[in-house]
Amino acid sequence: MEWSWIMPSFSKQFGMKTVDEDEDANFDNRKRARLSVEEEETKHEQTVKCTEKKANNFGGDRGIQKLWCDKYKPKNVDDLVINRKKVLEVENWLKCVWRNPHCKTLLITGPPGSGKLCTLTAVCRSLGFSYIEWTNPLGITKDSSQELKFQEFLLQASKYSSLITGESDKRIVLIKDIPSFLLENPSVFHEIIIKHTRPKNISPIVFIISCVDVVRDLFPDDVKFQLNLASINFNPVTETAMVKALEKVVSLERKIDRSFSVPSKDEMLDVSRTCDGDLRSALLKLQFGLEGGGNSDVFKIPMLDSNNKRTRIKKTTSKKHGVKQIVSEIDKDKKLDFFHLVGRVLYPKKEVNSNDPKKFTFVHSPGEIVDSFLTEPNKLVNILHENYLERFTNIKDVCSASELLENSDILLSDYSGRDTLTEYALSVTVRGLMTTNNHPTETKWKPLSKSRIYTTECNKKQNINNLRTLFPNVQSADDALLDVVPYLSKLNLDLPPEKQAILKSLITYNN
Amino acid sequence: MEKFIQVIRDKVKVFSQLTASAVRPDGRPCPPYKIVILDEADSMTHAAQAALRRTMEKESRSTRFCLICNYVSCIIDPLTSRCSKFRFKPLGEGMMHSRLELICREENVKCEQAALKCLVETSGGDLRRAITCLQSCARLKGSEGITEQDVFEVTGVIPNHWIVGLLKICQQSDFQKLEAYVEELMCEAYSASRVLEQLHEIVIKSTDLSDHHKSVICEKIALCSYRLQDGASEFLELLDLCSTIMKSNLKI
Amino acid sequence: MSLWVDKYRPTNLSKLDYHKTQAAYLKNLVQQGDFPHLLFYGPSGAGKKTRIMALLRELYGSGVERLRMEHMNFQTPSNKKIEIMTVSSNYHIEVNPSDAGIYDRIVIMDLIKGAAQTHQLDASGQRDFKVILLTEVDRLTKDAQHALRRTMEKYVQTCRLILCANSTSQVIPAIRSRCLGVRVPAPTHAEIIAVLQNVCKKEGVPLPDELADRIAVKCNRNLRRAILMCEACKVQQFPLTKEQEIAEPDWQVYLRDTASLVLQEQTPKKLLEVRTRLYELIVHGIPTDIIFKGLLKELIKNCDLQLKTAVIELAATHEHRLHRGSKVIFYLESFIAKFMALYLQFMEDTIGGMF
Repeated sequence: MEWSWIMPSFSKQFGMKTVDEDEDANFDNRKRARLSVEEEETKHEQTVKCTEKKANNFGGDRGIQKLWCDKYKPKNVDDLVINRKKVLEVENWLKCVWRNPHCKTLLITGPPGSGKLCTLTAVCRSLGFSYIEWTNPLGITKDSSQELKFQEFLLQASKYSSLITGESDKRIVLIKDIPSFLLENPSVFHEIIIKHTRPKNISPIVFIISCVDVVRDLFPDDVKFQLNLASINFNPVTETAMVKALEKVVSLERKIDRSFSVPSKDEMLDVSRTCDGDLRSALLKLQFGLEGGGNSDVFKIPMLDSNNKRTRIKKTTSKKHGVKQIVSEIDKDKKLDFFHLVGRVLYPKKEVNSNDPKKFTFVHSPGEIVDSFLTEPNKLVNILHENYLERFTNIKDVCSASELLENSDILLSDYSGRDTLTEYALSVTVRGLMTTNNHPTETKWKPLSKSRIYTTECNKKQNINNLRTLFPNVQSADDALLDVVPYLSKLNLDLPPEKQAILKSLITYNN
Repeated sequence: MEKFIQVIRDKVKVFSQLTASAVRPDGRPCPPYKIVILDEADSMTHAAQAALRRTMEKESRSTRFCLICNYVSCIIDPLTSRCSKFRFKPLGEGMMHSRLELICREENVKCEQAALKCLVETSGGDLRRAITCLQSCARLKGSEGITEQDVFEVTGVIPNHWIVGLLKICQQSDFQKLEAYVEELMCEAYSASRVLEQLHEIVIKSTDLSDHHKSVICEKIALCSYRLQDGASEFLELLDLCSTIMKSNLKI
Repeated sequence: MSLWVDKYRPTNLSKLDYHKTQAAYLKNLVQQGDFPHLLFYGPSGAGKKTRIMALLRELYGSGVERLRMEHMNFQTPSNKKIEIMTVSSNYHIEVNPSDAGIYDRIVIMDLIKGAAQTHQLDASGQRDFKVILLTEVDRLTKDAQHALRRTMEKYVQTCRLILCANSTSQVIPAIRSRCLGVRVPAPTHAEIIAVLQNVCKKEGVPLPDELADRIAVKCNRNLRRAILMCEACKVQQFPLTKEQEIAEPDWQVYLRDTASLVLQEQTPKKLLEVRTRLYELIVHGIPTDIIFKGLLKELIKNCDLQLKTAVIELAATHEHRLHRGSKVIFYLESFIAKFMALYLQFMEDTIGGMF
């Protein structure tokens, strides 16, 4: 199909790509792909994807390898390795969408790489639906225009049919990328969506969101109820499913490239174990673990030893590493558990110098601990503060420790010097707590408590806001809190129940 | 202030590039250059001053600059070297006094001599401040005359008896009395920094205290003053200072 | 909800119960032609707000008492929307800019600019300016105060500012020099008793002198608190007796109990308990300098002068450091820890000295 006469009504505005630029089409040999895609197109539907991302458009350069996770995207439902039940759920929703004018919105949640988008697109294809996807426009920084564009998109996508196909019946609107402005102002998002879904003849909207916090902010219970939101939650991909997928991909790759050497099943199991149910990351790991996606020389892949532990590679015939080593190296980057690091500060292990019993070195270097937290210093300082007291028995030690904590807070509060001072602040905290406890408690490891600093601040703000509803015309919160509120309750005034509740919360102190 | 460098670049530059005629609108001759007056020039950033320097050089034919500042050390050297300096000294007390008297006469305001003296002293050579104080007092009192007490109120000076009383209590050893006194002082709403300033004056000039004593007290005053600048609690700082004075008294 | 505090608040400068000479001066000020910017300062409960409202009434008449509450929206350069509540009449607008937190500068600039540019609609008004009342000015960031100074100069024709603060030390000198300072000290013991008697008489509640005296002592020269205490007493027991118990604010009791915990035992374990209590106080919005002051008062009760001085020094040091940091609990805890160590040492020395 040629597009030169008609500019699709959606393409320029939302930066949509026409079928020509569709990633599926481009990756293989162009002609081949276009034929196959065209075949599909003429048969079923118009899959017009609107995306500005050309990241995956490798432009046919043979030298650059295509990412497997894009290359082998499932084209139909049978290709999916996702749990059949989930797939059925999605299918059922799509099927009932036309029967029931009320269920117009679907929320798909799940960890990244669990196959949400793939499943949806595959099911769409099989049922003959087309979908139109929203992408955040790049380069626009003004928030209000993001919001406007989003609204325009919703309006046009669901109400107006494409000029090309004239078909608007079987179309769904797909939203994965939420504009940052709406993320920060969920109430605006709610308004837009609720307003939009009120009329009955709009196309159904599917939201795909991986992040739990975003789901919580953007779809609180009342909004869910108002929208009549159906929701499907995807679980992380199981090991067996992942191995199945890896095997499929590997076999497909082998078909294209005869010289590709297939990794063993155990290796694929290895990869899938380290990926936390994220199929995309597993594919990437495998692809790069085989260095160059398989077009490399033959190499011997060492076997796992009998108890399935990851052992060091005993011999390799080539300089190139095996899957296992890459996998284990990738995992080495994985940071040591947060709580382990905190434990190293609170329960410092000392190696006493045999020559001079007064001198000692720490088994775990404080410097390493400091380095691990340079990007989130407050997290460490807060949790250390919350838990350090339980380890001390001598109040004088506590004096020194608490003074060092004060110093570190002062250093961290200096905004303009934060580049250099963060390290010092962390160093003061970590080394301070490791060295000042000269009389530690005998008890073994106790579970760590969460720091109360931020929750206290939030609750305080909440309380002050509540105070405003009680006294809208008192301008000084201090005066009200210190003088009026304590006596108000003693006056037995006739206040409405919400105000009574607020008042009560403001004056009760837990002992 | 942030956009000052922009102002320099745009407005000042453009203005200075215009040529000036040598004849006034009324036909009489006048100097053929324009004048740009920059007030509060010491609050300009160095970058803005550097930008100004180039404009000054380039347009010196048609434009002359006049910078007004409080501290010449805040103006960068290249600028000061291009300017001829006129230093204004603080006004003498006698001159200020007579000026204030003149204003009182013109405005029909009755003012005690003690009040005038106080005005002159508290203004610290700043005539504008003295005149504003005078005007405020006049407004408040209406047709009544201005007394020294009124000047104290308007300028925020703490009546001497409070400060002297404070020192006296510190000489004794009754802590409860001291605490009560500090509370009372706080209830009067006087600024703690002012208390420290006036206390400092009295301590330095005092003949009752030994030098060692004075040095201990002054050091503490400095510390408390610094802390107050950061926003510390006035009550705690005053209490800290007073208890230190009390303690040092007892040691001797 | 009509509290005695609001019911019997004087609305006229001539009806004020104390600081009457000052009231007369303020009246003179109004009668003169040019009205300056004003800065009212004084401790809490001294009557600043009352006087400001009375002054406004003197300026504009009773129309100024018809108040309406509005929400004003401002937008920051980073496109964040701030909403601030304002109370206004036809002649004035009252705002607490420190509600906006770090964006108080925007609130000030936009608000004053907006207010100054809208022309006075009241044809009968003899005044050609509006009044903008800013409360808690000592809480403003220094940026906001500088912005205020510039705006004050620019728009002095159409609006006058009345600023209200607890203390002038946090107000920059530039603003202090542009305003006429009105110092409102706390009422004296006798003045408080007089007001209490007056209020009770109007309410038809006979107030025994001893009770009035006790209330005046307990209220810390804070008239608002005194009247509230009196009203609470009446609700508790009517008719009032001279011996009856005067309720204390809950936070004060809690603070005192916290201090006694510290005096009981000086170990890290106890400190942990104290920490929880401190968090409670913080959550309830009690300002940290009040916490420090309250704790200090209780802790030094049983100390000798040497120890008292040391503890006061500790309190002053840590309270000051708090202003340079951001996590308030660190400083409170550190102060308590240091006190515990000092106190422990003191006890050991005194007991050791006995043998």
